[in-house]
Amino acid sequence: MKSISCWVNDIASGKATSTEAMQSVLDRVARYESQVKAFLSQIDPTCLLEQARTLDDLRDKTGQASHGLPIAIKDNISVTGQPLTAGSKMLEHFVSPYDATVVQKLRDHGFLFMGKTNLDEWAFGSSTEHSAYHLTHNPLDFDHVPGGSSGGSGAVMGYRGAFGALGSDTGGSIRLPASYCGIYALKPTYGRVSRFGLIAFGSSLDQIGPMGLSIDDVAYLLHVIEGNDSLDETSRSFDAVETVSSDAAIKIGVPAHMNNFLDGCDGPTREGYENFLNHMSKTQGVELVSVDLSPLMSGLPIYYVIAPCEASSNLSRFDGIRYGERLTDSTLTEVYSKTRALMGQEAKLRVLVGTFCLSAGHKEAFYQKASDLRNKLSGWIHDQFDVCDAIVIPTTPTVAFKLGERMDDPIAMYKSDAYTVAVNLTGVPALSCPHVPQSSKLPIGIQFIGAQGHDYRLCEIAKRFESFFVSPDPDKE
Amino acid sequence: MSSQWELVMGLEVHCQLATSKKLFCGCLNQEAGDINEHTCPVCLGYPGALPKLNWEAVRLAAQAATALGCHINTTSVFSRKHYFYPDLPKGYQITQFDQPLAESGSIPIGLPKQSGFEQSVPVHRVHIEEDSAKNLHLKNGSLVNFNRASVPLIEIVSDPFVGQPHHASQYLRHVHWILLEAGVTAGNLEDGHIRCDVNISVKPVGSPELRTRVEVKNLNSFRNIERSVIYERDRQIALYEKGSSPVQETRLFNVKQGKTEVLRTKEEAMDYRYFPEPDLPVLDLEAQWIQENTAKPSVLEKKHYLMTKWGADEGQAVTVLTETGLFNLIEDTIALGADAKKTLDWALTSVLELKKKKQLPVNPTQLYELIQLVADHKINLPTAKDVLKKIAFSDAQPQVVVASDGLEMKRDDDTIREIVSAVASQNPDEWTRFCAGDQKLIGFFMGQVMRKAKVDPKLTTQILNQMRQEQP
Repeated sequence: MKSISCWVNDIASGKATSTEAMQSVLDRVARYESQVKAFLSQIDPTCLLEQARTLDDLRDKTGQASHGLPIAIKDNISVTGQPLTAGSKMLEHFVSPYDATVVQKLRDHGFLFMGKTNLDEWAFGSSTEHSAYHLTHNPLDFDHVPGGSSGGSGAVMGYRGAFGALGSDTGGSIRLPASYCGIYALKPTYGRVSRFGLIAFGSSLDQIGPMGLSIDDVAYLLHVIEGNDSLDETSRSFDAVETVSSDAAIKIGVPAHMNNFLDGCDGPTREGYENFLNHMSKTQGVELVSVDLSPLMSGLPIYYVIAPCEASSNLSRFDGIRYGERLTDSTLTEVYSKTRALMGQEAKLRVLVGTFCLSAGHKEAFYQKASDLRNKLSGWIHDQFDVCDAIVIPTTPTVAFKLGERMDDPIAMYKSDAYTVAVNLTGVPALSCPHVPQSSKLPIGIQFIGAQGHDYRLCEIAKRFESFFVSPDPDKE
Repeated sequence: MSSQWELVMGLEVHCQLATSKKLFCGCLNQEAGDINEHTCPVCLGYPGALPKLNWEAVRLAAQAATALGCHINTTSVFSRKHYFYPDLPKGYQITQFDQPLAESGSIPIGLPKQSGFEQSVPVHRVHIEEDSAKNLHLKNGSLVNFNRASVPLIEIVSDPFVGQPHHASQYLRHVHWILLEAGVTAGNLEDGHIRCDVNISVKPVGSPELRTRVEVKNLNSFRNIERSVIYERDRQIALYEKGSSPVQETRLFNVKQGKTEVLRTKEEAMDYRYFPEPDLPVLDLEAQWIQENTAKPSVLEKKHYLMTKWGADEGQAVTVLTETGLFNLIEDTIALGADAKKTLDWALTSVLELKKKKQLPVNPTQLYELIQLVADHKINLPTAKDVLKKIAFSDAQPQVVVASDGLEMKRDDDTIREIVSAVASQNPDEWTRFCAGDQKLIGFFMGQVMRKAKVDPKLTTQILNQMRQEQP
């Protein structure tokens, strides 16, 4: 498939039209959406085509008009005038009154928005099965999950129903669906992309990031959405793109204790990852360095304290008083209880865990201890980039599992994030690239983890191995 | 009262800072106005909205803390304090918890010697936080007005001290006076700009122990604070003397009955689950920033400054220093780059004419822009005064008003020439006399031209003279 920058150039030079671009993705949506169900709300296709045609007409007349390439947005990011549910019944009829900064930036760069994609309620989950609305199916095998929480965005990219999609990643929520649906996705350095307009889950962990069909597309979208934002005090600009020339010698960190590290991985993941290690070792200018990555695996327990603590706090605002659904009753306490009971099981579980871990008498043992360990983990990961340029590990321990398989076992579900959460805890960037091992129909993800602020460098490094990566097209299955 | 008991008090004073904007968004800090007029996604706690720290509030808080004798911490941290109530839009209040803005102050109020403090009450800490919204309880339900939500506050916490009930009101009077002098608050107690909670306990005279304390919340008059302390002290002594003891609880003062009443008991006390606010970075204040922003010149120093640096005469200097906020307005406007003399003229004439009570009609940015528009010959002085009236008590930008109302003066020769020609042909007799050398008529033509369009007077005079000489 043609890259975003190719389309942008072709449309500008008259080699292609906005209508043609729009039609190409709408054809895919028409073919797959009724079965995959990636969207929670969609802009009417005739309306999207009309917008594209208007741009083409304008371009014919004036020689100038934006390209109008359509993007899918995870439904926890605000788009003016469009529903914003975060996959929760609490916001069933809520319409966002303002644009998230990333949405504003995409608009300014000429992109159109085709709809809001499904997610686990409040982005709590790894399979999108916790959405209060409906299941989303993996476009490569409808019996399997698309991953989560940005499962809708992953699935729509998997069936090529948009030119790019935005997701949010708190513990792996962009990379997991990328891995399961066989696409590319980047969790940027914390602070690189403004969070203004993203419904907060874990404020110190959340990061909006691009999902796409190539490394170039992902980098293109990052370039559009990144940058210091006066509305987000935790956002900042990073120095000009640092890249590596395509033949410079690079060092890739890989697990020193391979068997231990891959314990819990399924066959296809082991096979695919080992194939890639082999491929890298044969690539010129690439040196594999053994690194003790066991601290990375301590991320999961730290994450499942910090993330629920912040989530329990961030969800307090959903009380039914100013917006969203409100169930009435005779006393204020009952109004709160009934209204907040609209949240699903997983949301309730995390709010309770977070509230407990922050409460008097337990805060030291949980929140404080987890914060201290998090700081240690950050120190550790920054040191690793003294000895290597990037760490390469699988994105997830397994390929996409079956719908329903882990719904009754939260711990099994949480373990899907084993390789991703440390990245959020330490704020570094990570890129997931797809590969389909021979023994499997479903893809795995190869995850590149880089030093803080080295997002583009990470893309450059991954591009060295681009021939190895394949994004499977369900049309060709 | 039995003489074997002594009274221990600790006070928490909340003071609204007189900033132009709220603490974390661009909404005006004005409780007045239509209900929910000054609100936005940020102060309403909408999904996805994030706080953005207002540095004017930090500056005023630091000035207040300095005036209260506190030490400003170079590092302080914002935290979230959680509880559910309709007046708290996010379900948590952004405040400062274990690392406050400032600590260790003292306020001289002249306590009796046996209190252990000769003359002052120690201030434990001063921190920044946001105000809550205001609930309006009606017969058939409650409504919430969010104009006050996220208005900047400082909380001033005293250490517990031994004293008499009137010392509580004396302390509050002193704090009130110091904050007003520091120019950080409008300071009206009846409007809730300053509110006070008192912690009260009694103990046997001379005993080092501190006994169970009771908190009386939301006192907003000097008199009621003293009345509530007397009532609460006597209630607690009576309990001890009956062989019982008070329980730790929060009470409210019923002004009509002169009694305190239980609001909530210790068992109902809230667990606020504080943790560092992840949406805001640690508040790092450089020593130099603290120095520059808290060094507050005395009135005499200010007067000297006004007269020598800004060219004010004695009378003007006194006016500036007696009008609330005027000195700061002038100082900040000049700091933005405006001419000192012009700023002073504006401040002492048009600005003062429009002033309402203690409120000035413009902020420094607006005044600076207005002065620059005149200096750049974009508008003339009378237009500028009209613009000032238009933007008074709003946050409208003068430039925007000038542009949208088409007030900019015509500055290009051709346009002015066209207008002059038109005027000349309408008044042929006068024009002939003018060309023949009747210089007095220049005023007539200036008037005619200016009636037709907003033109730059200097340029128009030049053009009139040129065109006269061009006549055959």
